[in-house]
Amino acid sequence: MSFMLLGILNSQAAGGGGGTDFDLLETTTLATATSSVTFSGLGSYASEYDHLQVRFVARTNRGSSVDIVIMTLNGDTGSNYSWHSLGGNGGAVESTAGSSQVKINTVGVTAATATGSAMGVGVLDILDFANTSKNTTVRGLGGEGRYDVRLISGAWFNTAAVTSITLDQNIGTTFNSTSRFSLYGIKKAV
Amino acid sequence: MATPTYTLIDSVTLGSGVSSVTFSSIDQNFGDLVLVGQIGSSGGLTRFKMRLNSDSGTNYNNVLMQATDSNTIGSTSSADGNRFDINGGTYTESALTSLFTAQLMDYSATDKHKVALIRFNSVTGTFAEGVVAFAGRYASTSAVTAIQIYNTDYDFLVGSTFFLYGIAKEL
Repeated sequence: MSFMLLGILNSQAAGGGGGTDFDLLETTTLATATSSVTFSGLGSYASEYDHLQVRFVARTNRGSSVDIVIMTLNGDTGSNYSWHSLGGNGGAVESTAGSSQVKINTVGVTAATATGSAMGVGVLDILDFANTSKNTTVRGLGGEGRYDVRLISGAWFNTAAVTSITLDQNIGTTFNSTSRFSLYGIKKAV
Repeated sequence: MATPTYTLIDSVTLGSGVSSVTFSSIDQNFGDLVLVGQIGSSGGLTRFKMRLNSDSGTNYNNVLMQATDSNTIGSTSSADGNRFDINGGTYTESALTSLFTAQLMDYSATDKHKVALIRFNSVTGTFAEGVVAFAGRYASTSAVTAIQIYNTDYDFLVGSTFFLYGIAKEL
């Protein structure tokens, strides 16, 4: 989460008289291994919220210690995305990027060969998600706490309002049970 | 039905110099915790650390990337340490110009290890500066009931602030 956003949230939490402008909208906690997670019907949030945040705790079945969570919007699997990633792996800082991509590579989580109870986490912001005059941008921070920490940004080159968010694995085929994905809304100014 | 959240659980503003701040008996009814600090150190070079549940065992794993004022970037990691290294390297924070935001995800769960995401930056203008992105895994499935932030070599400056927020995960 950006410092600017935190500043807003902090002021709201401290002075809101018990209320805040950061709302939990939906949570999915997986009871079984699941191929993807989608938050749909987001148009219903457009009148009340400007920005969305996805927070997750996840692990995939990739046969390695780390996998990447990928994101698509509105079910669009065309080559309409770009992303940048700045990552630390314990040995070096690496910058990677993709343009004309079919998804946004977000942050790293644990995978099948990681320690049994180890999970990866991520916090992703989808800014101005319902604005139809500009493309949609995403930013995030995540990691698994041993081999991967990552800052990312991504863009969807489409001015349509975001009505669904799908999270998937980059290489694995399922998220493990107990993985948790929560969607939050940040309210519009009044 | 949406659930308002990002709730202030507790806060500390230091009226005197201390080397450690602990939030204990943390409310278990949230999904994630966010700890925000604006801190400084009464002395020179120092490091800020974090422990959970007063656990000083070798249960902490760290990976971070950082940039310093010497135009150096790098990434380090460690396994089986006895704390999270919030700012990784060594910085000078002689004024209240160091900021951190720590996100502790699924802290009350008892079926998974706990991961902390931390953003740290220090700007002094005179001495070392740095910006850090950190991920740490606490290798315990115990619910987190206490968080300790401590300064290894000096006291935190008077006026250092710490805010602990809870974020709901259940509607």
